[in-house]
Amino acid sequence: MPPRVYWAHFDPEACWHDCNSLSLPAPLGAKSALHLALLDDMFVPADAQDLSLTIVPKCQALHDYHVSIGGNYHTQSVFESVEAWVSEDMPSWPEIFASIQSDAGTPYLEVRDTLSSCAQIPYAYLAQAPVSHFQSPPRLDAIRYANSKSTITQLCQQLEIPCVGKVIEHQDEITQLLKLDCPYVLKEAFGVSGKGAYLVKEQRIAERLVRHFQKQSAQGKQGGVIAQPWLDIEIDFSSQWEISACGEITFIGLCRVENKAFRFNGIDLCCQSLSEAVSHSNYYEQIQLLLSELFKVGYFGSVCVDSALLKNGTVYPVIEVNARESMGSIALRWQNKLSIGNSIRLRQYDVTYQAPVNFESILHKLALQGALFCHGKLGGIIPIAAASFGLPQQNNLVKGRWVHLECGSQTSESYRAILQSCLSDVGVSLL
Amino acid sequence: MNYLSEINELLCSIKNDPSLAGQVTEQSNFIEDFGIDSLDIVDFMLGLESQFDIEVDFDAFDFDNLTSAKRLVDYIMAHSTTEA
Repeated sequence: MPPRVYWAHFDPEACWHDCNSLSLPAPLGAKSALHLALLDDMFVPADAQDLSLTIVPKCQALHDYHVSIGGNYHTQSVFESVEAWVSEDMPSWPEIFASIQSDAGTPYLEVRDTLSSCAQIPYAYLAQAPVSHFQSPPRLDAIRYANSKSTITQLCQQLEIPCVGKVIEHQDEITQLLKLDCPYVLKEAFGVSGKGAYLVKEQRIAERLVRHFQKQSAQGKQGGVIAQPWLDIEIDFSSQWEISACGEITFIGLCRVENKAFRFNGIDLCCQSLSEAVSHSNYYEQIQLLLSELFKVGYFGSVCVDSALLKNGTVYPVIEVNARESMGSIALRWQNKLSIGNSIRLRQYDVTYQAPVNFESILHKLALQGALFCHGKLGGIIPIAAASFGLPQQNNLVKGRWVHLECGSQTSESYRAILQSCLSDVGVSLL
Repeated sequence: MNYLSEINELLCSIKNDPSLAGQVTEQSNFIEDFGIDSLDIVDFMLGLESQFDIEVDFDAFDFDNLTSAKRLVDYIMAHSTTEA
């Protein structure tokens, strides 16, 4: 069995997006936040002999802590330090892969060799990634098909799986947005939580957006937008699946998703009542039917299906499909890695700081407060990402992201209060 | 027309945070100082259109206009048909 390398790029949708498609209003030049590129350190390998390939080195203190609670794995990074990454203009994975494909790729030969000599477990498939000697990824058109909200809506409707939505494909369909009852949600085909989705609350806004789309259409853009009804949701949840290269479909797990106004807040893995409600519907049969169709068009690999339990008690099976890993699968991977029971929550908080933070001191403070999980304890916080705390000082406050798992009986609010106090001591503000 | 004051009012509404009243200055960066993110931006730009009777070309609107309130006011004045 070849060695396995894990790597993660958290904005793959930008690579899959078709620039000839319609798009929601967004200013020119808006870039992904800097710290997002460094969150790849939370994508944890399954086995001790596996390799985590990250853009900057994994924080040694955090890695040592993970090892102390059973999380062994090897590490390798593209750059030897955050400073080296910054001095090279902070390339993300797609830029690194583009460089490898061009003559300018010499600095990344070691990365290319690692990726080609191992079996790859990517967070999401990127077309430019060096191909492994041991496996070929799905074709790009199959990856795009499986991730497009437009094609998934049409496929579900063909399969008679409940998935209500109006796909705008042609210029003359744009004005149909005016006939829909507000509120409804407009999504780009490759939009994600946090961007590429917009709640149309009133007719006046629908009229304005129709003018925007008509202008884009006159410039030759078409398709790529979908309108979904506003659902009366009791619980957002997602299911994680794996389609093998030979078409075998495996259910990985179910998790409750905490969202607030399109913003992802966290994951709860302990959801017994949700599991029971879902098992009483034909959810699993419907999703397996959908995934078998995705395999027929050439997709295999990880899939996260976003679903909902509505306030009327019915299970709404497909809100959207993300044919990649997800925050839910990351939480499940950590749960399996550390064998820490079923009652696990993942929480993430944006933070700001003035200067690079010594992560070891944060771990130390959490331990002193009795909030850091360790062997023999029933509960606590397990930080899983540290690299975004090492960004160099800029003119303004630096933004980073804190991500942790929680287990035990304390609430997320009480853990957040302890965390806030510990972070404040080292000059970090929790937003 | 007091542009900064009206933009500040819009900001309070978008962020649903009355404590931001009086916070916008010519130097304000809406992204970094007030946390206007990708989800807020559409509401913010549509709000600017209504407030100042302008029509923003969303596909040409420069992100940098949101990094300085003075720059945003200049943009609005250049695109406004309303007398100041």
